[in-house]
Amino acid sequence: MSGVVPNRAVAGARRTGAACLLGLALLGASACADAPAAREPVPVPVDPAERFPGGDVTVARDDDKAFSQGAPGLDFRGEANFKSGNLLFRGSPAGLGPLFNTQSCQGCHNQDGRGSAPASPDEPMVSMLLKIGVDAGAGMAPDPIYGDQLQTFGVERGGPSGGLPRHDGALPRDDSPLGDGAIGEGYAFIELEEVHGAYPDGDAFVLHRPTYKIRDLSYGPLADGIAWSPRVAPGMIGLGLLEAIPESDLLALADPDDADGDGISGRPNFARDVLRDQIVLGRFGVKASQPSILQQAAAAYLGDIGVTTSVFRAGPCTDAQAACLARATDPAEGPEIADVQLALVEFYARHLAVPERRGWDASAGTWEPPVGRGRDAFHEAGCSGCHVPSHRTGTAAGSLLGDVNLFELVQPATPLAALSGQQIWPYTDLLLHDMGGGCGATARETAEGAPCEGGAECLHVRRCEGLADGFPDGEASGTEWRTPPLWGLGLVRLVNPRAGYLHDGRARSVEEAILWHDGEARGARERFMALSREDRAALLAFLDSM
Amino acid sequence: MRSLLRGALFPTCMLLLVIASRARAQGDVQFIHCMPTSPDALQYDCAIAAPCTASPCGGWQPIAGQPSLPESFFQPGGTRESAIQVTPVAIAGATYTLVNKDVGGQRWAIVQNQANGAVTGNVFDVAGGSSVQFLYCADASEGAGVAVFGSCFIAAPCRSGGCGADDWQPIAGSPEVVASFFAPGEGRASGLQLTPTGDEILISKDLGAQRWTITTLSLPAGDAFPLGLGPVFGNIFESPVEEATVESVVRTNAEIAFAAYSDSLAAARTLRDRLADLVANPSPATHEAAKQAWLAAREPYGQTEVYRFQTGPIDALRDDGTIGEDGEGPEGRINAWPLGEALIDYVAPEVDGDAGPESGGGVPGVNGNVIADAAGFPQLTPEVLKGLNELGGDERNVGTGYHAIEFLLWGQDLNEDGTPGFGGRDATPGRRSHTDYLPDGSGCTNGSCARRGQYLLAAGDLLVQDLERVVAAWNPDGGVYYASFTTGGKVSLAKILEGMGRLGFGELAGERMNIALVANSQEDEHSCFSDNTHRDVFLNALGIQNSWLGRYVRTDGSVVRGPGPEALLRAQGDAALADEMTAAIDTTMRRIGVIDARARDGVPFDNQLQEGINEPNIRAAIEALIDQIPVLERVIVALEVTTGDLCQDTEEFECPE
Repeated sequence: MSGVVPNRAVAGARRTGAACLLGLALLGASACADAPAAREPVPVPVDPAERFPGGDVTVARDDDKAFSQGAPGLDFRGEANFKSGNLLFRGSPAGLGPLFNTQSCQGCHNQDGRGSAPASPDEPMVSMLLKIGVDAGAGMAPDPIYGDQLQTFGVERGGPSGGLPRHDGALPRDDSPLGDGAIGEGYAFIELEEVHGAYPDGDAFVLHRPTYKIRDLSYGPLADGIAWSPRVAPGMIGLGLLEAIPESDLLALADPDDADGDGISGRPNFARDVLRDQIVLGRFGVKASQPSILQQAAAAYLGDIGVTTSVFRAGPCTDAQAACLARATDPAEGPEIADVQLALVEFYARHLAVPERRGWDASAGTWEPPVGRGRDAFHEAGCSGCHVPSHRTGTAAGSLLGDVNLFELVQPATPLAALSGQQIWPYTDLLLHDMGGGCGATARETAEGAPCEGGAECLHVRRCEGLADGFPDGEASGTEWRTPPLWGLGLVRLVNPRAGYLHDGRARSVEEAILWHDGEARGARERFMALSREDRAALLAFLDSM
Repeated sequence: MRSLLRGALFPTCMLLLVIASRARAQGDVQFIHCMPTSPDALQYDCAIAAPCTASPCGGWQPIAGQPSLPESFFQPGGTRESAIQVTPVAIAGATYTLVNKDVGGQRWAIVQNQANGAVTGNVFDVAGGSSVQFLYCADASEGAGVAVFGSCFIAAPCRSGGCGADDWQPIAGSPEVVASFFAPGEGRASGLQLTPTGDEILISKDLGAQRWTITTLSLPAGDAFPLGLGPVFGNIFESPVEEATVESVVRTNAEIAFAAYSDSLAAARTLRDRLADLVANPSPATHEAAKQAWLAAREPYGQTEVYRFQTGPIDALRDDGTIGEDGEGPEGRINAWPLGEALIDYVAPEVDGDAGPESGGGVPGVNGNVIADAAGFPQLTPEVLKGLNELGGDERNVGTGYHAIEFLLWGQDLNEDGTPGFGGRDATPGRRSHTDYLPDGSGCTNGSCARRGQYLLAAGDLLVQDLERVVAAWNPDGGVYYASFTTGGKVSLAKILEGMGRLGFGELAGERMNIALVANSQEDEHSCFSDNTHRDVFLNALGIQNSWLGRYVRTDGSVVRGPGPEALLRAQGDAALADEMTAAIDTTMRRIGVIDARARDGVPFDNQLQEGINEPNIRAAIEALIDQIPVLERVIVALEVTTGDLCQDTEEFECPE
């Protein structure tokens, strides 16, 4: 029942209110002596509207294009913006690099769905990446050489390595003051460890716990105290609806001190809206550190693709990266993509529709039995404490950049009618929750695990327990994560068969993702584990109907 | 070909009028031959004649009174129903004003010789929807059983701002008519006459669904017909062949779809044959013939794209022959772009990066480009090529269809000096050599020539197969889609209008022009290897006009014609809105025509979109496409159909309320 778990020092668990902290409690209900009792069954009325989780922004698709559909009812102009945005989203921009993680938005958001972790250490990360930094007390500071993100690729093309990093490859040499030019910064890879566990009824399960390692650092070693946060690209559906939930509604769900004593806090993250120069509620990203789709898109253009915008004008190279700077566009030439292009991509991202739910019995006017039963179990287990089922959007404001009319932007922007006033069912509160676990200090060791100081064989290695990344992000601690929306969950693998679940794609199934829940979600996870085999299957059927 | 111009044209400044009364309503045609009462007068002495039924022609009778014409007749302005045009060049020293205007209940379609004031033309009944085009052919020749018009141009009416040579668009190919076109006929609803002077033949006859009312210079060979022919110019007048109803409009649209896809299939088969010639016998000649066949194949296909975005066969026909959802059809295999050329064949790395799939991290099992990867892809069959599209789930991996063939014929559109077209780009298309297809080891360039040939033929076969399926679905004789579409009533009408709007705005203005424009991106133009993008955009816009007017000129010159939404709107009494929509589309055609004309003049689309050049053509065309959308939206309201919400309940899904 208990897994083979190395006992390691852990750090970074900033708020761990649960009795069984540090992640490993999840390996079996018996590991925690005082699992919360099942809640009183609360009748959860069936609302037929739930089968249209995006309200009017719902599409009847359940194929591999289910996440790629525009909001129904867009007029011709809206559709034109959507299609143009889609083309930009798919294409590789002219200003790619010099450093990048992938060549296009679609390169990460595979068919607008989730990305995936590489299948083996030999595959470079393409639709996932590492945010990097050193603890500066009040949050993470960029690595002085590598910045705040490790880019795997550089624009050097033509060689068999295709722009992949090489150990010290970008450092000056006698024959080349710029080394090998614009190659990637470092090669991150994953080693998986099997973690065995079992349900109270004896059913066994196996989880994969990842350990992240970095080799082939082109610009020399990472800073002392380096930490990182691995992140797989999330799905794109319904983003504009999430953005249109009134901030006050979300703040009303916050319970930072757990005043109601349900073991669930719920804290808002706040972030600077760069264009408005205001601190506002963060909504996007795995730690809710981005305030808007526009800013998230601009940040991804910069960090992931190496393309500057009017929002983030400085390129992906730090001042310490001469080889990168030598290939970079001069910022004085202006952003590499124009505002109209950024606005088109924003429009596209805001209007990606949500697929209709499956499992609705139209003749009976309710959910099919397993889905309905699972829906009740979901609520009874307390999952809905964070995965808040439904919200109503307010007036979806137009783009800060203005209304886009193909080649021009027109101010003032008008509200987006398609996204406004919709009753939606995303199953999220967009708040931060402590999910337990913790991380040790980043080590330098060889492939065999021996300590080392430097050289091509010396890897940077970071081990974490549970879901923690030990990487604070704004208000979010190293164990806190934003509740992800669950809509589309049952179609994730149809859209991208390689996709995994959770922030780093480690979970191979929704069931595994539940089993990784800890911290504030420990009680809900234990109640799930305590369910009968049939009820567990029903709860998963409910999630599969998303 | 004879195109002899006689020295003494219109020697007596005679005014020649053709009156064809109600061409389709069994009305008689009468020819009028008028002479100004004084050199500058707009008042005439006239004679009339019935159609000539046998040689020699004659039978002119003077008529009482002196008919006159208003001065505004010869000035630009008016709507489609009432307009003028000017011949693009002088004919035998004279430029002609071609007039198509209303007089009372009749349409007078006449031609004025600007040099001497003489006028020729036609007269029709005004009732019913119709559109006017103006024709000029530099040559006409007759052979055994057939007459051929050569070097023809066609124009929409002049705007009030004036007439311009850019209004005239070349007609692909040479329209052919049976030689009897120029011979006396039976029946009286159409016919011809020879002027009393014997200098001109006046013709008022049906060609396809159009009435051609034209003038040609005669070269009398005794009394025998056909007479010799000179330049041909005049009016083409269309009238609906049946009453405009939702059913007839939808059926006409379906018949056009079948015809246009059938033409596309025929042209694709010809293309495939030329590809086979190239692979079997690589030479500059077979290579050029293949490229010409590709260009010809694009002409009908571009006009079919208005049938996209309506869950029709092109987007939704599954491999099992049923109609599914948008995205399940063969469109992606037929016409997807931008191509993943680095996945297919060798490329210049500075343009496309490494050989291989578009995905940065590579796709397991694919080593470099497919043509070079004989181990990974030992056979290059249509089935194997199908698997390349969206390889690894990345939509940028496109390996089939017109553009794959285009790439394998032209190669990358590098500059002549081999530099990529990021910044300055020259006017040349890609310059792949036929030697890329010579036998391996015997002159083959760039390696894997036999496999390149296999890929090319497989792509050609797949294109033909996919088009065959689309044609079958539209076949009026048992096609799975034809039956449901033609009985779909207003749902089908909505699809027609939706296709016009979606193609025009989202696809054409948005993806195909604006993205390339705002990104200054050669890679984002549609036919980037062959520099044929000007035809893509022109033909797409023409397809929209085809749907609107219910008209399609087939590759053989024949015309599929019936009532379009335009006629339906007119029939329900909304002629002003119909005119407005027609005018908006005409504006689009004119502006896209400038892109087309500039490209023909040696400034291809990828040059026109470059930053810092004074070529506002593309932006102007986008603006026209934008401007026609609000008009279309009012048409949709006026026709009481709902688009944008074509969701239909299925077993699995119910549509949102």
